[in-house]
Amino acid sequence: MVQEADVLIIGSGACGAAAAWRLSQGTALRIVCLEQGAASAPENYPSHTASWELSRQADFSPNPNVRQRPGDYPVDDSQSPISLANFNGFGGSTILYSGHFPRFHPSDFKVRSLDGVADDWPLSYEQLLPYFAENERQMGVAGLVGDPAYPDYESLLPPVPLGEMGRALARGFNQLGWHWWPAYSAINTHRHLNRAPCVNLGPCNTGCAQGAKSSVDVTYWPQALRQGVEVRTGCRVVEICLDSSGAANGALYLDEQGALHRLRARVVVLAASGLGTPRLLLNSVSTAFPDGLLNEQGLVGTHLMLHPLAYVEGVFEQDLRSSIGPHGCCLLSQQFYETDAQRGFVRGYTLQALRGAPPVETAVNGYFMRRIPLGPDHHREFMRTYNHTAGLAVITEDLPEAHNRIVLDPEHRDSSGMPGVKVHYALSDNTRRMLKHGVEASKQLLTAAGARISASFAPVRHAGWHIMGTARMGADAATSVVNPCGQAHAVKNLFIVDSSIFVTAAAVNPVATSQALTLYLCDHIKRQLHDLGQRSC
Amino acid sequence: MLNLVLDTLLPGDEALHAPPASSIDFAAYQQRFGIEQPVADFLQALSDLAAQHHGQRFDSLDLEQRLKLVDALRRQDLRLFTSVVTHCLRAYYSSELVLRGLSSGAVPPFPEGNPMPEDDWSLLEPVYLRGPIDRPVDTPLK
Repeated sequence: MVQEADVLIIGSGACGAAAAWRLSQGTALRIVCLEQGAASAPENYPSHTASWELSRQADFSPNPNVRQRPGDYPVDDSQSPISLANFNGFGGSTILYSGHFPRFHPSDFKVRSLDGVADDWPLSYEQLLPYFAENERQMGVAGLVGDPAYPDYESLLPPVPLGEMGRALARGFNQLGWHWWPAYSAINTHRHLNRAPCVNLGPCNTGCAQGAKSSVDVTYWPQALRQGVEVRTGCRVVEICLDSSGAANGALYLDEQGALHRLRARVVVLAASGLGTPRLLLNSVSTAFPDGLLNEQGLVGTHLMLHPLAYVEGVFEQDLRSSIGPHGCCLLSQQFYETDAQRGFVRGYTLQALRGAPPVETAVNGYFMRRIPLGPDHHREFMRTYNHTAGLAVITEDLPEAHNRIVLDPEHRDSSGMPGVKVHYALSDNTRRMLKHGVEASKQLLTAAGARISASFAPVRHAGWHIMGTARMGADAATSVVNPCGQAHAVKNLFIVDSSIFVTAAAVNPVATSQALTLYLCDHIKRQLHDLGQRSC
Repeated sequence: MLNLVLDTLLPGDEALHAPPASSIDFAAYQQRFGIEQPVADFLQALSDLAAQHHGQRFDSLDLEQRLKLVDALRRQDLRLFTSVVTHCLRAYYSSELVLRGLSSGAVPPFPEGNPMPEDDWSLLEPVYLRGPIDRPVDTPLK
């Protein structure tokens, strides 16, 4: 086995896969990717069985503490109102994500200039624009061009159907005069790049057995592997190593049998997510970095942003067959996306329509919310709820705050003895006001659409998918971990290309932006590969 | 007694094509999730309550009496009750037999899938007519 590479990529998820593809494109680089989880076999995805919903509380749970696969690590979220979600395996969290794939807006990169909060990004939307388009082509994104909130889309696959539920909501939006648009969905609605089209299975977030959802195991990875990238699954990096000059020279990792290996590399690209990246940096302690690699300013793990969600559900009189279809991909509204001082908060939120709950979730939630009894009336009430509901998720922009952070948790260790992580997170007053506004707006919309409100709460606990900002990017080494090229200020041949470098969070799902950013950063890496370690890019 | 308890919680309803819970393979579910002990505790607790409240066996009571005892168990031991009732609902609504009666789409979802419905995109006309809502980046908040 090769133990020397030109480029070591740590993590095979959304950004690791995009990096592997881009860096191997047109180069003869020896690239190795280390992934701590295993590869998923689509033939084992739960949608092959009637009991697919049960897997969401077991080995396909988005909660690593429930899932407890060998590649997982413990996450103590007892000090956070939001529980973190992820998937550690080949393809990362894209295996379980819903595929809701909107871009950040131009204004999201300039929040300090526009609204006087947080910081501007050290790069602009315009710089990322060609990379957004390239990423969407590679991933396969469905939607509709012409959105008044997103004028820059040029080409998309046909949108995921709204279905009866989506049309009912759309009529409600129209009645109120509010913006709505078909979802931007990382789902092939037509055959695209040799991948099969969606057949409307529904349970996208337990893995897509059809291969139509754009998880990176079926998008970037097959191409990257053909371009010569080597992936080693079941290999957990425990430390990024430095040489005597302070440059990164590879990593120590444990294989599936627990044997320790050293892989040398000229360049290290970290793409282990907003959670895994700070964990590994903090665990990489050396004489030069006694508090963790790149943590000389105490910034690694801080400024955690999570997109706190509110959820509002309505029940319609009519059967809308609402549980059928991609759960998170129906329509979105950005009526309240941009700052309006009269609302009492800065920045804004997206409303994302969610399809109706599947049977087990309908029954269990309905019973505990005292809407669906046990006994003779059970089935009548169940049938009045199942396929009759529509949900709205309020995705709020979370502003970066230093006290929201991820730290190592030596009390809870993974299967190889490496510390897990502990999350310290609190909602800001601005976020609370935004959530409250979003709940009221959602109720107004569902009522206009003809539904009766059946549930509303905020924040949603099990919704911490979007983990951002924990190794932030900036021009100033005193206030950021990496520079505008993703290059560590303190270690010139170490790059971070995942959402941990986000400066702000925007109010949309982050994957489209994190992958576009990865492609952009990888072009910098490729251009300067010859003298990395010598200077800043 | 297990079947009677299951049918007390989730009796069948022919008109709605819903089979009684005793018709699903609950034993296999119990084994898969390792819940034999809490289910046994649940049954024992109901037996004890039947003896206390009625001086009879649970299976000699009518449906209304049995449901009242189920509710009494909820008040007596919420943790046990919640756990077992959740498992009963999960087992029932993940049963192929039950799902086929629900018109819940393809069972299992893969490989058949479900038809992709046609949409009426003229619904977007009012959105187009209202014009752009994106925010220019050269206009700070007033």
